[in-house]
Amino acid sequence: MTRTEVIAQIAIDSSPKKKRWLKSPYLLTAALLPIILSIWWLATTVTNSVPAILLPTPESVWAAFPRVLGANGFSTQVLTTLTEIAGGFALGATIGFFLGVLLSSSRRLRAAYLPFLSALEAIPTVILAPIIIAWIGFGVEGKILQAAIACFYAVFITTLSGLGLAEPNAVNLMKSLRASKWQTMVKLRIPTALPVIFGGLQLGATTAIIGAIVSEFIGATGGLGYLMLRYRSGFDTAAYWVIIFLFLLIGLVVYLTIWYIERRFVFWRRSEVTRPDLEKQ
Amino acid sequence: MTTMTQTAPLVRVEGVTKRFGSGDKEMVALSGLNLEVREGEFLSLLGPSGCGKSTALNIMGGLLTASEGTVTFSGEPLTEPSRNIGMMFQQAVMFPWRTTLENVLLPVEIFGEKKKDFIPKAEELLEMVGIRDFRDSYPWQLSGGMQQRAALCRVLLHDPKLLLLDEPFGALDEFTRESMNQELLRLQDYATSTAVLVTHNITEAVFMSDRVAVMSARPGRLVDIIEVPFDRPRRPELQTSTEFIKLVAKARQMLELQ
Repeated sequence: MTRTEVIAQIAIDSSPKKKRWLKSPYLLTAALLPIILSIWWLATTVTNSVPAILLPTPESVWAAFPRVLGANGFSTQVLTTLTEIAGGFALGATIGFFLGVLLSSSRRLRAAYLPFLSALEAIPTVILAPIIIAWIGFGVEGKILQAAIACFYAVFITTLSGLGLAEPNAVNLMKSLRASKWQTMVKLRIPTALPVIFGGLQLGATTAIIGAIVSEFIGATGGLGYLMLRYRSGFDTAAYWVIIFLFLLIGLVVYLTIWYIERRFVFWRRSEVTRPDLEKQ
Repeated sequence: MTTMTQTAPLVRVEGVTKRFGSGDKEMVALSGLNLEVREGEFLSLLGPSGCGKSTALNIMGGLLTASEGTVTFSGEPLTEPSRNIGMMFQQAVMFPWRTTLENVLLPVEIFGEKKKDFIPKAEELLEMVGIRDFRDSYPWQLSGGMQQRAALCRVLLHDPKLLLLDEPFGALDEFTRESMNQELLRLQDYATSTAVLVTHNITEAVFMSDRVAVMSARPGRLVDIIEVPFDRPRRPELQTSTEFIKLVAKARQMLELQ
């Protein structure tokens, strides 16, 4: 079979079928929304079985959106939180990745520091926050540090385990070519680990968001978490819920962004199938 | 192949023993193996599964070190991999993030040479094994046989003096395997290199080789060497000739007598 014939065959295999959109997973996502909304609506507006201070009605939350989004300095608060998340994630993921590379290259370093680093991960953000505030104050820098601490471990541990996933045969191939440790790392181990590392990045991004918000809760001069505290003390539950939805939105955007980058970067994972029809050329 | 006996051996394996583990868990994979690989020949290591033939090959390739004994390559003691030795494994080991051409060029990249200088040669090799049209395809777009063809091009790109083949076509179906063996013979002749093939397929060993080294079950040792006198290039029809069948029977008997 020539190359063009193969491409033609692949094109036939993947030609769009009728009503394919019915199988789209997003249809399921869309179906969930009215269900949740109606349960919420039934519990609050219709039966009035949950007090508004615990769960506001959907209408009141909807109505609170323009009030919260239009409030003076709202965009500054959003920007503050986004900076904390992005900065913390970038810092934490970078440190996590390089620590993973470093520790994977030496059994001795692993034995010496891996238990310690894992134990460090067990310290909750809430406990660290007051200490960091005491050290570097209430500003954005402390929140970035907090988010970085919260997310580095996920990237670190997935990088470390992903780098060990290279097949023995592939490692032997590199050895037989007398590839240096560095060449084996860059040309074999890191690409092999990428799908796992991206899993760590997804996980790390969520923990970075949590880290930033929790530390804003503990003490901050700005940001969405700080805004939530203010709404809560004013018993403005509807506005509080608006910000919860904003966090949901941030989480969704972050997830989709990383997912998109992964698809571009780890393109071979999408099509890692053998084609038995090509067995004979 | 009488002229071959006069040339100095390219590889000399002397009294090589390999033990894995220690104490109660110690396993002797190879026991006092003596073997010579002559320049330009095609030698097969034939033996049952677990007879240590792959271990022997990995020691010749410098991937494993012998517990006892010595290996010399071109007269020099061999203790680590050499760029003059090319290895092929049971799997093609193609990196899925590289195109076929990029995979074939991997050795050159690792050696720090200019990739551009080697592209014509890589394309020539791909042409010879009939997959040049797939130079920009990724391995997962190729069949298993095509991937092994590419792996063959990769190992031949830098003209290794010695080819070490660890059942490279063992995972392929019978038909593909046979055509790959033909391909291999043709390319070994083209590259004028020496080859050592590990296999547990008697017919394949006899068909491919100038000499077949028959090994015993664990701990692996050399039973005998069979000289295969047929002319090259060898046609598949050879396998139905009486002389060929006799040699195969002889090898089978050696394997069963142990």
